[in-house]
Amino acid sequence: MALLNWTRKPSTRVSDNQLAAIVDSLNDVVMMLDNHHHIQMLNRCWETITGIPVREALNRPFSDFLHPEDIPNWSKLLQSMGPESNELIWFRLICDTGELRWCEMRIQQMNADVTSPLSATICDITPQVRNDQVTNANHRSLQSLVDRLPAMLYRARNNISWTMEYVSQGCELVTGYSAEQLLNQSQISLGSIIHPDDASYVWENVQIGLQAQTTFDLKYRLTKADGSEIIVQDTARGLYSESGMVLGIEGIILQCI
Amino acid sequence: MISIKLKLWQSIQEWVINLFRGVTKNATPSTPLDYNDLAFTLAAASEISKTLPLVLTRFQEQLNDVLVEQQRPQLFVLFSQPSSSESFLHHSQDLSPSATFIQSIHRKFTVGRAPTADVIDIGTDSNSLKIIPKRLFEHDNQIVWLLFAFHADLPNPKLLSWHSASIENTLSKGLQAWHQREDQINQAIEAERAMYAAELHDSLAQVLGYLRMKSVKLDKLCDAPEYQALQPISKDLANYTQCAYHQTRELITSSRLSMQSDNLSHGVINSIKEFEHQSAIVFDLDNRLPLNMLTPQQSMQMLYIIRESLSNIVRHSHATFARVVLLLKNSQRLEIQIEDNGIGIDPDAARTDSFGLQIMKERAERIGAELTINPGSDGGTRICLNLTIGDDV
Repeated sequence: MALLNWTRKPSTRVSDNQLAAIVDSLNDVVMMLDNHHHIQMLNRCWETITGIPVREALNRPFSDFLHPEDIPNWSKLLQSMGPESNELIWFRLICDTGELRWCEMRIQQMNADVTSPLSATICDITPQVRNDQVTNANHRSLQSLVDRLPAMLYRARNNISWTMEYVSQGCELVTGYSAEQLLNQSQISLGSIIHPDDASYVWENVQIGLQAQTTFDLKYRLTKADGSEIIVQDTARGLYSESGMVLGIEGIILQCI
Repeated sequence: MISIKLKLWQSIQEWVINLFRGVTKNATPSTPLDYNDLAFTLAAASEISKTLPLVLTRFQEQLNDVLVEQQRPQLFVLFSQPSSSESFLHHSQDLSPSATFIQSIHRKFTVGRAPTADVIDIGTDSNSLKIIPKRLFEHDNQIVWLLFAFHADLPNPKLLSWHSASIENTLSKGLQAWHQREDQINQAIEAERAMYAAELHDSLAQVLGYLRMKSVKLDKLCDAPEYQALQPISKDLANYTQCAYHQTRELITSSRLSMQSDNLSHGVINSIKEFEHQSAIVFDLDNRLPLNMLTPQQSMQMLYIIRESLSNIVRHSHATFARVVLLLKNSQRLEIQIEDNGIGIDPDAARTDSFGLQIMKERAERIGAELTINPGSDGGTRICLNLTIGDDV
């Protein structure tokens, strides 16, 4: 209300009806809660989002419309409200059909001196949450797939230690060292566990492969964490900038049976 | 020397008690409480919800004996679990706290931050109460409080401390020992179940897996015209071996399920996490159930059915989205929906799954629930499980 008064031209008079029409035209819910956190005012967008008529929601506690799992967070937020608070909270609203809508609410005191009433805006973020869920599911699925493979997928720097920028969890199965131990040579490098007699062969053949920008297949010996020696198959290729500069190497190491 | 001190101490205590008795109405001498005995009773309780009220009744009687009526508190022990938003309020047998009072206690101690004030006002329908809370101890995300509720004025703090110290000490000792004992029992049960599950997995399940392969092969060989007469037997053999294999796998899963969680919500959350890592399906959990409303047996059967449904979704549905909804349709009826947007169930094609569906139905019947499988609203499959609450198994 104060904001609307401030922005309008002094000569322009905004009637209550116009003000209500402006608030009703918004695509976010605008809401006022009293000292018991009951709904005192709602715009039309509430009905668009929830399907619940505004008149049925008025004078009811806002928590009546929240998903039960989100009520503890809502209660905590109300307890933490202070004069300068401008809080943000995500929750699920239960629609008239029983479906859920993910929402983001911004809430604040209307007057700095008194704890009530509170004003709030609610934005429907369900599509955004659904998109995030799909992205997360794809990422999670890929990550699980990579980590479960009985092989060591890696991205390494082109140096004599083959410093690992990324290494999959399968490295523990192949080498006996965990991904954390191998990452950025934090404890050990791939170069240091390659058999000393094979180290030059590996280095030279990788450089030849990088020069030719081809995929290279190498077989060499590795010393595992328990001291045993195994033969591995390393299939990799270079990562290049547009100008052809070698940025790193990506590949997969499997134990030869 | 020691005996003289002891005698002197007892006489002072008796003198003070008698002094307070002197100002109470109908003061009748009662046998002194054996605090060690009460602590032991609590520690050895098999059902704490029955034993604790008995012990509180003894303490309440003692306080009623020594304090004037206006200063008598009502005793409560609160098990507060802020992480799961659960409160369990225990009281002596002659008290019956109102629902409003219980809700207020739940809000003040469990929903909000743990109170730090020495005295807390609780307004109820009829009157207001003053609560003096004593935090006894914390165990496994559960805070145990001793609450003294006063209708009228608060007594002198020193007087209250004098009478409450032994009560606090006894409850603290007894309940801590009870918690430790419960933990030990649960650990022992879990270890036993884990052992049986591992044993079953390594022995019988392996043999049945082998038999399953061989019986299917035998059945295929019996397709040849010269063995046609054997085919009904070979088919039966293959089917029953498959069923036995499935049931054994299910037994292993069940023993793991009962280890995983005590309540349905946690079990479903864990199961969804597990299946999420096996696929790119988006799983959505909509859990609107109050906690601990089912018996462990009901929870476990429900959880099995949900897991079997999720497993079918991952293996056969081709779905990209699955939703699990747990809700109360009304105060009497619990409904669980498991819906996906996949290709739906073809009743003629799902021979291998038919054992799974059959066992799901059997499990539903075991707890008096109704299982229905229908096409989903937007394609896919919708499994509905309805249970009337209160029908114990």
